[in-house]
This record gives sequence, C-alpha cells and structure tokens, in this order.
Amino acid sequence: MGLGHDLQSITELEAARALREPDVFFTAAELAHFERAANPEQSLAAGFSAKEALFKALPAVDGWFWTDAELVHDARHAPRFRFHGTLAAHVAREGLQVAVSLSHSGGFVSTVVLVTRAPSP
Amino acid sequence: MPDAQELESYIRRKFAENVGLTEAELFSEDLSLSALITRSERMTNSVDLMEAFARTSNGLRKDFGLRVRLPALSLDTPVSKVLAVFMGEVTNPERKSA
Repeated sequence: MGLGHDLQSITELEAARALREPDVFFTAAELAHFERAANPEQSLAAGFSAKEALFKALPAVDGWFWTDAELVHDARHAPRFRFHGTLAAHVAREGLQVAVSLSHSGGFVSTVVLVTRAPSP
Repeated sequence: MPDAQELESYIRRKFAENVGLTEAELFSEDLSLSALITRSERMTNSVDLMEAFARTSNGLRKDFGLRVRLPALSLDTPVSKVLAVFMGEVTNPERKSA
C-alpha cells in the first residue's frame, strides 16, 4: 500500500505560466477542465497537488511522465486518475488501484492519494 | 533541424537560464534536484522547479517544433538524468509537434 499527501498553496501556481502549455506537465484535457472550473486557479493547483501526492504514494516507477497521470472527474465530479504510457502499463501489471481525494480551504489545496493492490480474482 | 549536440547545448543553456545558475554550477557538480532548489535564489519548491523545466520544454517547441513532456523524478535525481530524458524526448521522432 502507498499513501501520499500534498498541500499546495494556490497562489504559488498563479505565476507558473509555462506549466499551462498542453502536454508538458498537464494534458490538454486537464487544462481545459481547469479553465471550465468555477475557480480555474484553484483547479490548476488541485491538479498539480494531485500529481505530487500520486508521486509520493507510488512505489518507485522509472520512466513515466507527469502527463501519464491524467486527473479526470466522474459525473459526480469525484476525481480519479486515468493512466497512460509507462505508468498505465505498470499499474496494470502490478494490479494497482489508485484512489484520490481533494480538498481546498483558505487558499490551499490538500490531496491524499492511496495506492493499493487490487484483490486477486 | 539542429543535430543532437546543438540540442543538448540548447537544453543545458536553457536549464541554467531558467533556474538562475550557471551551466558550470549545474552540470560540473551534477546537482540533484533538491540541491538545485537550495542553490537557486529563484526557486523555493517543486512548483518553481517544474516551471523552470516547462520553460525549457516550451522553448524547444517554439524554437525547434519539438515537444517534451516533463518526467516524474524524485528530488534526489541528478540534473544529468533530466537532461538525458529531455534528449530522449527531442531525439524521438514521434515526439515532434504536429
């Protein structure tokens, strides 16, 4: 099991302009989601925080890119990760399940990511 | 299209510019990412670090039409590894911009 937590100031992300270029740190779909959010800067900070928390929760995996962990939201707006590339292959091979929880208050975003092994069939 | 040596030189220069250190400071000691944050007066955290690498990536796209994704690396990673990942990205023909 792996557990990762990250606390991110929303203000710290406001000056980060280069990170908003598609397919560098975030996917184009993630950036579009942030733009549509009621508070785009808060949403961007949440995206950054979620990836940092995931990195802390995962066992060492070599050769993945930040865009391989795409933060998506279901119909109820609950966040989860959609994996691509090297990271997707690792998660599938190891039978990992990844849960993510986001919260924000007072100019900060807090994220917890839990990585567990899927039960054997 | 520049050759690999020119691209490496460009990436080294941009890394140094964007983190606020000289190329010699960065690469002669092969600083770890955590040491880089400590040494640089411009950077205090991982947001600053990612922003600096993203600026280099965006420069490569703008100047050469090459797309570079940022690697997920721990803070004890030496900067030479980041350079190697960038070089792997820019020399991969599938990574060229449309």
